[in-house]
Amino acid sequence: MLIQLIESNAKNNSITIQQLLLSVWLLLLLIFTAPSIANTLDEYQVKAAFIYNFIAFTQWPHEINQPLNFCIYGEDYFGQEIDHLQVKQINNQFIHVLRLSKLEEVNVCQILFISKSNISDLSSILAFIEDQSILTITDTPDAATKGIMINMIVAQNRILFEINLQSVRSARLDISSKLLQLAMKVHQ
Amino acid sequence: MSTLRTPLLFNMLSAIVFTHLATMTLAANEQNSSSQRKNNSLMDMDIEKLMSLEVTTASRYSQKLSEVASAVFVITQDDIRRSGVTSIPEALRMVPGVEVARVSTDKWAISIRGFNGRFADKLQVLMDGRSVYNPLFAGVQWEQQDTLLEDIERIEVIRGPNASVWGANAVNGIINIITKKATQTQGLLLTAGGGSFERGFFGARYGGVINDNTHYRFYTKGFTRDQMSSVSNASANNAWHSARGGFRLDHSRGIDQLTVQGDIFYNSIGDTFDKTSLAPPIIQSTAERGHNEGGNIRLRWDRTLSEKSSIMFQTYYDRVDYKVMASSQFRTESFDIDFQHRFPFLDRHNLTWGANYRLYHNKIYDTQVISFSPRQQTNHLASVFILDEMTLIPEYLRFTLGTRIDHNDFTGFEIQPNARLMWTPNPENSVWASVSRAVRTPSRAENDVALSTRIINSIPETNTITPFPVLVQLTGNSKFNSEKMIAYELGYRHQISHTASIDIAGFFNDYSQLRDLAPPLSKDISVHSSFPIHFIYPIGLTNNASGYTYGAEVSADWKPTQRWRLQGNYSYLHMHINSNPAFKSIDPTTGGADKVSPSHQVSFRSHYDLTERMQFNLWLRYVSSVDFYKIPSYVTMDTKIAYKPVRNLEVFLVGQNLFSRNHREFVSDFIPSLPMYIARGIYVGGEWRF
Repeated sequence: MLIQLIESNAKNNSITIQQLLLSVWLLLLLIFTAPSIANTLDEYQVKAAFIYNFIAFTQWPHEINQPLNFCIYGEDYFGQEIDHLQVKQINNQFIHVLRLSKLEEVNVCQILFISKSNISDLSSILAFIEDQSILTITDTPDAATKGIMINMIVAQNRILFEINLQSVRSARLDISSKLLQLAMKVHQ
Repeated sequence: MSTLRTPLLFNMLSAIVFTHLATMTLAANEQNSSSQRKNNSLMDMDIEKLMSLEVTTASRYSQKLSEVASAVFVITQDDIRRSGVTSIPEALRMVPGVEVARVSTDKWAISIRGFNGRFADKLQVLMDGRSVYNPLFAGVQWEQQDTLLEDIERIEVIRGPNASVWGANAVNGIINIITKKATQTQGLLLTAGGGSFERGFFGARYGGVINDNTHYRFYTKGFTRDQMSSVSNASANNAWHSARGGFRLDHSRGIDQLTVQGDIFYNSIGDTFDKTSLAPPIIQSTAERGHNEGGNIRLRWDRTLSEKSSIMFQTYYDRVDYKVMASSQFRTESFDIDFQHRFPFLDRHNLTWGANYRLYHNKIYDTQVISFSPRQQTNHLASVFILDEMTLIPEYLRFTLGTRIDHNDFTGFEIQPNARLMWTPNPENSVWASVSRAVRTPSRAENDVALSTRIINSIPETNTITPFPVLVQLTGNSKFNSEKMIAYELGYRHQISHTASIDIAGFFNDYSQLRDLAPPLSKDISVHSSFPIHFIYPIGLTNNASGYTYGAEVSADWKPTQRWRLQGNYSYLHMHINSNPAFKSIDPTTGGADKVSPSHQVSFRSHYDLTERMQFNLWLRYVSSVDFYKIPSYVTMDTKIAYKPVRNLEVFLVGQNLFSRNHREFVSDFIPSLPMYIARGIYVGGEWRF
């Protein structure tokens, strides 16, 4: 039936072979120009990749000769995803992933990720690391207004982030302007 | 337009077919290599690319559902696949509180919580944010609402009024059909099959990438469905052939997302009138073939400002041409602009406000049955709404207050407020209650129509047998007002364990100023002197009816094992209508509406995975009697067996309405199409994905 429909349409309306070939060619062009990226990804898989970028765009006030220590405080939702950081280098520096059991161990960290599970203690955690040059990251609503430097949020199935520039500066850290431009919001 | 669109359809169909043949192997290779690349190297990605990736979060639906203070049911893609349904209307049979009755091959009567009919007018339906409610006759023409079913992400059905968010005519509910984003429909999909009632069908889709931020898909589908046999054994003439195609493009850049989407379709349909209702020679022809065709294009832009704050802008154009000569020929066009803004306010408030403008243009040609005066009209609809979600006690008590103010050409301003309270004593239990007002605004037909509905032998309210037949003609009324409703609802959700949950909703709906029929003054009864001589008996419309309905729906979900899911629901409905007694027996839409909707409905589904490769699904349904049309209750069952011999291929066998050779579900109202038997159907098919 459909074939008949197509045939009768072809008779009624003069479509030239050129038009047909052109439309096929355009479609083919569209399809072959880029490979596919399929389906959706796990939230924390992508968040781990974001964290790698955050570290790469941050400068610490003095040279750090040993590997950068990335610490997770609280429940680890990343699983093995975050361990991929250890095979990467940033400016010839390796990254170590540490999972803190006590906040007292924080002195060795250059980057601290505060898990959702410990977010109720946020103000005491921030008070504890005050004056240390530690990049603080989390993924909880409104955390940036409470003094976290980089906060990731999920909105419309995408991961966005906000930056508290005041906290970054008072920790004497420097975040690249590119990251600031991409942030959803920069708290001054 | 028709000379312009047909080649476009033709081009698209042929282009897609050719492309598919050419790209199958290539696409497969690309897909494999790209998925490997993705897993290893998310960390190598530029941060801008990362921002455009879509992620799934663990408990999106369950979380959202338990937070909603209204009766919501969601049909997922998995539900659609396992049910074996081939159309959106058939899928809606899964939903508690929804009545789906098939009138014939291409016609359905669908409503929520009563007032069902072929032109059921108290239900709003959106496809990807585009209203498909017909402003000419009111109601939804379901044969035009289709897409590739594999591309549907979910169908959200909200029972009860939601006019303050969704606008007028969302009186008894809203159905929201949402398709997947282009990022979720990557690669090639081919499906085809055929059987007894589903004579043959095919579907094809290809999704690809333009750059890392831009994904697209094209689809096309077609089917042919058998004609049904009529109750009086006359030729039904209603086989249905359909072709459809469309595309979607999704682009994201940081906090912005852009979607462009469009579809075109062509349906070949037919209809046969009941000769006892509209006999020749008053109506010259009783069997007609015809067609409808249409298309739409939509643009949507979203900007995310923070987790709780966003803006949305959407605009679309939609057009349908319909031609079945004996009954109706018309063209409807609509153009819509919509804006919404959501933001937090004063710590505990979440405000959403929006503005909407819609333009309808329609033109209807006189047929043997219908004429409109004026034939052509442009109507405008403007509205604003505001909604405040307040957190009264964090994590325990939330209160939502909202209202919409509409202005339409027929009744002027309409106000539709609602208030909802949600109490969550703990994560396992939630209780909600609401009070809302909604209106159903007049359609063009209710103002302007002259519709020949049936022939009778005597003039109602007199006992004189006339020497000539009497043609009953429904006549529009320019003073016809909106129908009003105030709804009181109460609901409870309980998570029994992490494998079982139950959802209960009850309602009391109080209707006023419902549409009733009015007898003509005797001076208005005229004799049509040309051959054949007959009386014309014009019935007018008033707002004199009122009524109330109450009922409840229970829905339960249970996964006894990892491989087995059971879903059941029961719906109860009671209706009471006060209307002109003279017309109770001839008006199924209001006066007799209490006898049209079944009081009890049951749906029970079992989804079982026999092995990793084999699924066995059953779906049992019970619908109680429709007394107005003397249709008995029925029990029926659908089943789908699906088998995956290799990774990319699925073959399936589907049986529909298995329990009897055929059964009746409904009778066409307003337009006297022949009543049909719904027959048992069996089809087989396959689906191939790359």
